[in-house]
Amino acid sequence: MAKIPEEVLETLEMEKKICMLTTVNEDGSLNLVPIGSVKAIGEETLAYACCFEGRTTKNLKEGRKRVAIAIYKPPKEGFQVKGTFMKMHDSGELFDEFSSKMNPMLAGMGLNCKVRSVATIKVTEVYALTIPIAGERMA
Amino acid sequence: MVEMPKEVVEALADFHALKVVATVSPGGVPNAVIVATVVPIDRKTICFADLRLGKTKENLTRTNKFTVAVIRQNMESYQIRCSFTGYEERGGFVDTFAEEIYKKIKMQPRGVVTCTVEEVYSASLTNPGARLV
Repeated sequence: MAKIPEEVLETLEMEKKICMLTTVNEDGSLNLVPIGSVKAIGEETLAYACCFEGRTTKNLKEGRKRVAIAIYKPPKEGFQVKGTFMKMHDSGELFDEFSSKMNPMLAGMGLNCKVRSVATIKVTEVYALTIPIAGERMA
Repeated sequence: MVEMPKEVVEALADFHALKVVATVSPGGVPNAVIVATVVPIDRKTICFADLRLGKTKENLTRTNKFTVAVIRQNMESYQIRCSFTGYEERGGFVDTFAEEIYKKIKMQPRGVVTCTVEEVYSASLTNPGARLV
């Protein structure tokens, strides 16, 4: 387990940040997709909303639980958070919190989808991705 | 090897688009880093500069697989699955590419990674996961 550094927490609160989450497919290839809803819940845990029954969710549900998230902080900074998938929340407080915030937003964007579940990730490592310190471990 | 659709080539060539490269270790641990220098060479091949590649380079040479994701400012996004084909430190193409990189960011690449495109998917919110080729 690793404590998420303050500057990463601040970046996750930013509207303009971009998060890309990668999981490992059955054949060992990588699935890499943008995830807009990543947020910290506590010092060592991230959560994000699953709005599609896609390959990311499939990989996690099938037991390939290791993930890496690249976080871009405009204009030139970045972080990588590595972690382990913990649980898929299909109901409860966390699910309700994400649903109440995101479902109206998704509808407003004209998208025919809603929050299906909320995934939680236990953070294990955090690295800088900003040149010239890219690769340095932060936590 | 497949040919990327025109819109995917354009997205990769977009200097303002965010590009992320994901690799995996032999033990199944993924790694995802921002690589601003990813560009298409043609419709079947992609390259990027080694400015400070650590785990990414190590994983590439050991497992051969990686995925590039690109997202443009209008949120148009694609996922490109690739096979590693080579790492060159110098030579005609590498020297030209390195010169372009240096002009833009004043950093000298240690080498250039090249790969072939194997599969392309949409990662846009309007069509997530759809296989394009």
